[in-house]
Amino acid sequence: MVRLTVISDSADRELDAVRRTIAAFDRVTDSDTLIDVLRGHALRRIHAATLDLVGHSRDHGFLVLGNWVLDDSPQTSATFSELVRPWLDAIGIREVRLLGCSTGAGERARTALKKIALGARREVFGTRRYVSRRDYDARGFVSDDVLLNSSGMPPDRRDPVGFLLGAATAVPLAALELGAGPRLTSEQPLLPVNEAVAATIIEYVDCSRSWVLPGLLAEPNPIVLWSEHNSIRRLELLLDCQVVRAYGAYPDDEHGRLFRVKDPIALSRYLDEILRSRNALRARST
Amino acid sequence: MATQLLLTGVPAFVAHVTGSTAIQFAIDENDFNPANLISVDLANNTSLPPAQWGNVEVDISTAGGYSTIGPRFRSGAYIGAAYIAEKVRIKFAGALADWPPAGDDIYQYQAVLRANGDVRRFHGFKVNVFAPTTGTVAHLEFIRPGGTAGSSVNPRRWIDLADASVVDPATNGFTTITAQSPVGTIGAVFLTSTAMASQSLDKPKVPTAFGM
Repeated sequence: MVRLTVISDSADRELDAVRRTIAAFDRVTDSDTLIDVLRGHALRRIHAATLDLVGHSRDHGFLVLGNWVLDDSPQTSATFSELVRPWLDAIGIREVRLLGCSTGAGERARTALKKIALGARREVFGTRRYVSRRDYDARGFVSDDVLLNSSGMPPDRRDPVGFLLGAATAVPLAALELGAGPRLTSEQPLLPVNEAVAATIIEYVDCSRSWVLPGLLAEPNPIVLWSEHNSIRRLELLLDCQVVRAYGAYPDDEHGRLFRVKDPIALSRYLDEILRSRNALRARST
Repeated sequence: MATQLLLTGVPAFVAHVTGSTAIQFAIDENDFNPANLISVDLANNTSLPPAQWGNVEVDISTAGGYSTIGPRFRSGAYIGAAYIAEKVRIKFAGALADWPPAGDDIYQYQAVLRANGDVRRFHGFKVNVFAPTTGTVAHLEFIRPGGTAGSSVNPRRWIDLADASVVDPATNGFTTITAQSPVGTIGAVFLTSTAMASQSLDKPKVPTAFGM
């Protein structure tokens, strides 16, 4: 698990929608229950790099968890330094994200981010706009582009590959008539799979928008091939599974279209599992 | 039988740090007389269970508490407020001779913690009975520390003096305003922390010039 999500336990339609969207989360009503939740994860030796605190924001953009306002007061900072930090250390949390509306937009909200960061001794991020259920999926918060720290800077990118959002085209993967693309050779890292596995791989892909970069010379590894409706489909995984290239009908039959992978680490793990089970089968048959 | 703790808020300018939580502070930033330093150990705070409240020297500096110095040095805050226990106030009465400032009453800076199954917090406010009380519901003008009655910036609130979830009853000895108090009476009401938040009165420690 790479992130923990904690949601304010308040009867609320918007937060209910977020709760229905996220698969795994904890509820908190105040600072004490947050500490209890973190202690529970630490004692179960759960490790996570990110702690997402989800709630509404109040005046000045202060996040509210139950009846606890994460404001710019010395008490909030001290709560993080004295009571929360030991458990963040135990879990391995590297960053805390305050996910409410505009929790990093105002001057006092930024001051709160700074003070909490000083107390927690970790990067703390707020948001620069309103957030809603649409900013979440089953894994948690997905709109990383709205995050900023107390200096107004976005988080450092974890993935070294970036595409300019403004250069994206609105062509989704579903709009492509997937094809086999340019000629293949047996020296290339081909990975034939069935339709079910291909569908699972596609689930890791942000299929909603694509980029066209004819000059990209990244070597694909692997090249996923499968058969569907009596024709070969092809998906190339590039740059440590961070990007996927798909080929369609003209004009996408030569250079293809690039799509971002939502969770490259998870996709890599999934491919490792497939290869491991195949190797095991091969060893058994020989 | 309820156990209670009376805390008095004072400005705190930390002068000496003798341990991660053991400090000495002055209540005046320009007072460098060692005889006026107040010694406390911030570890002896209100997070202790009620049975050990006899050891408490100061309120917590974390969420829900009123102190704002520390809570641990040298990374903690050196300037802020310290809500000290009554035994500390008595011990350092000489250093606190000029506290509270002229015109203010001590209850404006006092908080009460009462344990009776759960622990409830109350904070004192100076109020003026603004209009005739209707039953037990009083229309009160809240006088800020350093302020006077009749100021246009004073917030006015309707408060049910019989609602124990809002006001500490006068029978406990801290609230002096009752349903029988006539218009123009100035006195103390001790509000619960929940009521303070709901009435937007959660910042009783107004003199920011004192670091509070």
